[in-house]
Amino acid sequence: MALRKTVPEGIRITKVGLWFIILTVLVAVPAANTGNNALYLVEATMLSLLVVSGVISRQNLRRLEIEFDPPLEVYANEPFDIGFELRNRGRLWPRWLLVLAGTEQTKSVLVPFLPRRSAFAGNLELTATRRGVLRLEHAHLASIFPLGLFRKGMRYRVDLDLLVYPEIRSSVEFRQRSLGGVGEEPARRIGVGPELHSLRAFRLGDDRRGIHWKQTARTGELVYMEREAETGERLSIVLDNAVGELDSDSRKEAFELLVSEAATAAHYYLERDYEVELVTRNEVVGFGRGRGHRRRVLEALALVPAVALRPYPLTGSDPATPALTLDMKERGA
Amino acid sequence: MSFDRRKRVLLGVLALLAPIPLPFNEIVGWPSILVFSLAVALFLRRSLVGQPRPLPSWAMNLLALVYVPFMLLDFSLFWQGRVLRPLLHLALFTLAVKLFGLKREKDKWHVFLLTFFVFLAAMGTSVHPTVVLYMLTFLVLSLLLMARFAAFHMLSSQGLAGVQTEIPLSRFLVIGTLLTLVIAVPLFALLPRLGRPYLVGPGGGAGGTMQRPQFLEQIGMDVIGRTRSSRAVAMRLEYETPSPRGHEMRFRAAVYNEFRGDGWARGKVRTQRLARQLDGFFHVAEGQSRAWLEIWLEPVASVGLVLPVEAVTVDIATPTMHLDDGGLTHLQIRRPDTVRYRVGLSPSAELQLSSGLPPPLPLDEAGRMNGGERIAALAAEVAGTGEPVEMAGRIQGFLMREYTYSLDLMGIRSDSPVEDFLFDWRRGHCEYFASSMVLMLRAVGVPARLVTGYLGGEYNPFEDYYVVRQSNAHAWVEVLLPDRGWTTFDPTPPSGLPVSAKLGWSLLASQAYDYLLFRWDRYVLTFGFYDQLGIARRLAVFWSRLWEGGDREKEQAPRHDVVAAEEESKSHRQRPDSSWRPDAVQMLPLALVVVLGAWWTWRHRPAFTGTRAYRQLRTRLEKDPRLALTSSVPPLELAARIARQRPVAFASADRLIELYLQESFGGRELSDEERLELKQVLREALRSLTRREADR
Repeated sequence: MALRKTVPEGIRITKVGLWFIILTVLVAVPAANTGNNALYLVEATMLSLLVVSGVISRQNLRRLEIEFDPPLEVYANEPFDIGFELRNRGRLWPRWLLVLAGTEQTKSVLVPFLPRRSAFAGNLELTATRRGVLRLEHAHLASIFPLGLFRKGMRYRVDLDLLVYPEIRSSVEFRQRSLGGVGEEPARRIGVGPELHSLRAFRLGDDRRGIHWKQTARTGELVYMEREAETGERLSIVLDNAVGELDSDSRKEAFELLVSEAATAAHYYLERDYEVELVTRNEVVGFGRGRGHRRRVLEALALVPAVALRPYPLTGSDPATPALTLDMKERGA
Repeated sequence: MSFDRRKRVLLGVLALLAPIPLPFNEIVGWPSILVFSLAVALFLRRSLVGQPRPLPSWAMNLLALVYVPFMLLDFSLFWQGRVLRPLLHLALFTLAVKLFGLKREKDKWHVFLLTFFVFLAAMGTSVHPTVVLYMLTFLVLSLLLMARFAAFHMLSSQGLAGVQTEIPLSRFLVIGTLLTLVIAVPLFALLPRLGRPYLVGPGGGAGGTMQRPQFLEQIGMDVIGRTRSSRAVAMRLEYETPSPRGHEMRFRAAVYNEFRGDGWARGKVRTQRLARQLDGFFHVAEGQSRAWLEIWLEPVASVGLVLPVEAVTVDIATPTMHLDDGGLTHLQIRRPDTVRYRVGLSPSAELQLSSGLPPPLPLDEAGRMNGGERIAALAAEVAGTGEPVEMAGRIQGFLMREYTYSLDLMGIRSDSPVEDFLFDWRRGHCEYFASSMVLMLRAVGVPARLVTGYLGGEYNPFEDYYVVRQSNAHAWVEVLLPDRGWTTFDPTPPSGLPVSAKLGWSLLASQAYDYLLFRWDRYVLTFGFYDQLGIARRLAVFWSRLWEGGDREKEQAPRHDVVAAEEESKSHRQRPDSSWRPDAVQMLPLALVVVLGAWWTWRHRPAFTGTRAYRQLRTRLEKDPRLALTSSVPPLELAARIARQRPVAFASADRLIELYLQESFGGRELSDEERLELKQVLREALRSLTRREADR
């Protein structure tokens, strides 16, 4: 996502610039009064410096390219670094004292000197305050070069969309909440794992490494070990987003908290290798585990909207699987 | 060097530079500047060596207390009308103390402001063109300092204040300075000039002290002699039309009637107020102007305007003028800067009396006998009898033949210098010759008076004008003849007449320097409201020419069609054989710029790379139909095709392609030897291809 249009942000006069202008006016008075041409020379030079400062500061912000390399996962209210590369396309003129910011309110990065036809790579720290799509329309570049008289800004169009996942709460905080032992029972299914599920006769096609030699020696027949599935835990996270209109800040906050809890739960259990399913009114993300599944769940949670109230309750897809139900009614919202 | 240290050093250098012109302009004395410079040098040394501890506040206060009595003494001068000196002393003292007390960022700005004030005072009181170099140096250093301040501000706002970051600023300095100067020049021309100061205060001029004029109400016998020892420019002349026949560039500055034994005085002078005539000029004598001369008179010359002896009209931007019976013109207000005016000359070399003036006062007995009996006797013997013009001619010839010109008598005191000259010394400078002739003529009853001024001038080929220097100062005689009025006689022997220096490189150098001074004077120091009007007028003419052709041009031509006459007269002007030297000197800066530009371009030429060589080869081969090259043919395939179709060039082309691939994909740059080899194989390949085609 490289350079598109630039939008000048205008010029702000600095304190030094204000003093310079005052000084210019003060020099003009004796020059005009006395007709002293040497003072006129000084006055002309000072006025010329004002013009040159404006021209050079404008030139300093032109012909630049910014490319962002966003991180894979971004969470709300958690500062994240977004990599950028700032390129100087100018053939003759280097760039000086460039300050890059994602938005005007966020932290900025200073690029002290950028030679011509060169690039500078760095990281910009941003923080998204809420989940969902974070649209970075412009990157802000500013500079007080050359003389510190004016602060000139330029917005470079970036059009970067970032999906911000819901805030993940502290796991300690999460564990302290009562889940009633949800999902802590093993599934007791045959699979691959260290625990023994059952013994049976060896069948053609079974893996010879699964032979229980002790039992085989005892019985005289080949005995095969059936193992229990290692990750037998499953959980359905049921987020009832049919909460009606969020007509107050407190309701909005409560809903976001709910989503955040769902995300935290998903994050917590998926980290413990549970099979997690997410069920909302709009979408069902089936059981799965691993990083890829986690991303799918968090993406769904990032975009889950509040929908109109529904009369029927929401449940998980497998009644046998423990479910963590999250809804606003429980919280009295 | 850390940022902070660099800024200190820059501040110190600026502070050292700022007051340099002040002692030359006689605003501040040399001892003050020396003490200040020593203090700043000490500060610089401490800054360069390490991070100096700033002076504590109590030490600064103590120093201020110590300075108070000096300040009070200094300011007592204030009441004598000298304002700038005590203020500058205070500023320099404060600046020196502040430098040693630098602690916070704010202190550095205070120092910069104080330095700027000193710089302003130095600029405002300077008249010499070298002040441009001073201003340029100050500009470059200020740009550097302000850029560093800006950089430091940005770094500290990011918490990187302590980090040593190299920020090259040379390119910005060069371009920034050039741009500033380019924009400043038209701004200087366009900034409004007021007709008169609007605040209380005389204002005026470009500062500096006015030199003592040489042609005063009273003069001693040595004034002209001493004046001639100086090469300073007295005035510059530009002939707008061919000068009249017999014009010998003789200019009258003062006329003296009363001899007082050891010197001359103007005596009782009657003046008449002159009004502009219908033609818009002041008429100072009878006659019609046939030639025009423009004069720039330096503020060193005379009580009145310096005019050629043939002057009949004067065109000057002044409301009124006065004319005395010595034929001298006086301005109401004499400004201490160059005065510019045009003079109309009559074809006759003799001065005519204006009809409005009363006849000259008759000489009394005291005046007749002023020279003494011995002089009277000598006069009677030499002059003989006859018409006054004959008697004057005899006396003139006698003095020229019998006496020797010499400057050896400068400074000799005598009670009767003219008698001593005529009877004892028999040598002297032009004042003695002229004084003797005046006294001898008066002794025989012929009215005569002493006139001082300038004679001759040197041509400056750079600007096509004449320069009259102080060394052209001269004294001669005017004799009142019945039918011709006051007529010029010059009894000084030819060897004593002012001569121009011989043409040579040293004269050329001094003329080039004078050209610079003239331009500086003309277009900077004395640039004013009327010059701006002139620019506006020229722009209007240019604009109308653009749209309506030449008709308007004729309507707006100057009154005397000077422009057309000037074009025609250029070939008529008497110019010495200046040869090619002035043109060579004028072309020198341009040649220097071209040479420097060529050298810089050669230094920064892009290195010869494998890519360039490969491209040149491909461009050449694309013209060969047998190779059927397209842009998609890769290098190795190209080499194969060359081997098949152009085996003669294969060896060199193959090596070239190998070097190209090595540079582009091998991960390292070519060494110098490889670059040389690259050039060589390219040359061979191209030559082989050309030869092959020629053979075909």
